[in-house]
Amino acid sequence: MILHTINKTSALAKCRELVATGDQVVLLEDGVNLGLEPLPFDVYAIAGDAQARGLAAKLGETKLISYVDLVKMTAAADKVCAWF
Amino acid sequence: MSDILFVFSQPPHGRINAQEGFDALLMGSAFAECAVLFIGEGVLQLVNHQQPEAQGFKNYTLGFSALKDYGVSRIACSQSALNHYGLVEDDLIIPVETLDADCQRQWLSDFKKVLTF
Repeated sequence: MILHTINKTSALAKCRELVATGDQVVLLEDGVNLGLEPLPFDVYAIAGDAQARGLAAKLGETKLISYVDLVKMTAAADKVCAWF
Repeated sequence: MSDILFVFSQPPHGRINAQEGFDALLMGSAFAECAVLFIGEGVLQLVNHQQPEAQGFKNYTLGFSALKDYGVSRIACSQSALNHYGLVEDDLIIPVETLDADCQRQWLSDFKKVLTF
């Protein structure tokens, strides 16, 4: 299982084709803005980054997590791909 | 299967990011078996006849021709990215394998480590 992180809106185009079934995707920093758009896969978003942008209650199905959660997910993943 | 997959998604020149990726690839190839995958705007690094010197940038893309000598034999790019930019094999500085989305996901899954630049 690969953990993909997306830290800005423009980085979505890079990984759109590369996220496989069973992979995890985390939106962080400006990447949380993507939670407002329809996405081709399920995503998590960093709660603090979403709150900072006033988006915490507006991200619909997106699951909000903390940076501590992200560390745990990183440790559990086979590989991490950072898209920036 | 190789040890480290370098994924290049940044365009050449303008910013240093793409060249840093290439430098890291050369260093990595001294220690591990490396492969490289160009995706998105990264495929623009492969365009031949680049002349960035007049803008004050070194043409590091000439170094791609040396990758084979560094033991980097698996060089691939996204077919959809080539199509997106209207590029064909003759436009590229070195021959590369072209991969569809399924093959790219397979590469990401197969390599032990993946580094994105």
